[in-house]
Amino acid sequence: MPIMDRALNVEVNRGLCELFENAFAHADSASGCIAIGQLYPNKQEVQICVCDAGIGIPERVRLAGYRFPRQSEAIAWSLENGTTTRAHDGPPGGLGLFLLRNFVRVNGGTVRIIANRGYYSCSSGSPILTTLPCALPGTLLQFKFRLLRNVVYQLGD
Amino acid sequence: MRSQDMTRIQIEKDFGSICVDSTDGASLGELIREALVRGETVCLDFTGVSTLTSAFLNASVGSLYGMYPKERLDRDLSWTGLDAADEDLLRLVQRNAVRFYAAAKPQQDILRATRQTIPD
Repeated sequence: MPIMDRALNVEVNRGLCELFENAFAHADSASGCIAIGQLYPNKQEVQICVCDAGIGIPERVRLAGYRFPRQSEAIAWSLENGTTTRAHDGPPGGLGLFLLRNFVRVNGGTVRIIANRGYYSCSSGSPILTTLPCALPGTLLQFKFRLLRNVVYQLGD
Repeated sequence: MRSQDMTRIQIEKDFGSICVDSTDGASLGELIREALVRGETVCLDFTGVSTLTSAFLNASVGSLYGMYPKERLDRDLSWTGLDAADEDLLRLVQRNAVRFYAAAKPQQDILRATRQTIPD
C-alpha cells in the first residue's frame, strides 16, 4: 500500500475488510475471494479489485426473495443504506457496501461491480446500470480511490 | 436504590487491534449479553483498536437490539476510546439495527408483495 494519511488509511482498510467479510458471509464461494491492487503514481490513485466465484449479488438478492426487473438494479439496491438479504433472526447488515460507496463518493473515486449479468458503476454523478450480454459467475468489485491528503470522511445516512 | 455493577470490556485485549470479523463480533456480543443478563452495565473500551468494520459491530452491538429494547441499551451500554469516524460508524450501526428489527414484519409483507408482482 502507498503512504496514506490516517483518515484515508482507516477508510481503505475498513472498505477492504468489509468486502472480504461480504465475500465470506454472502457469496458462497468455495474458493474464497481474490484481491489485487495497483498503484498509479502519476495519477496518485489506487485501484483494487476483489473477486469471488460465488453466486453473485443479484442471485443472492433473488434467493432472499427480492425481485428486480434488471440484475443491475439488485446490485444498486445492495449499496443502499441498510439493505440486506439477512434474515431478521440474526444480526443486522447492509452497511459494508454503503460505507464503501460513500467513501468513494467523498474521495472522488469510482466503484464498479459486475455480478451475474448486472453491471453497476458509481462515481460522483448518477450511477450507470447496464445488463451485460453474458453472465459472470460470482461478483467482481473494483474500487478506485485518489490519494488525497487532509480529507475528513464523514458518514451520512 | 442499588447502584449497578459495571463490566468493562477491553476490546483490544480480547480481540486484538483489528476488529473486522463477524465471528469475533458475535463473541463480543455474547460477553455483553452475559453481563446484561447479570444486571450489570457494560462499557466497551476500544482503546488501541485501529480498524473497525460494520460487520464486527453489527454482530456485537447491532444484534443486541434484537434482544433488548433500545431504552435498556441506551441506559446500560456505553463505550470509550473511539475516534470521531469510528464513533460515527457505531452510531450508524445502532440506527441501522433499530430499523432492521423494527422492519422485520413490514419487510416480510414487502417480500410477499414483490414475489406476487414480479416473476422469477
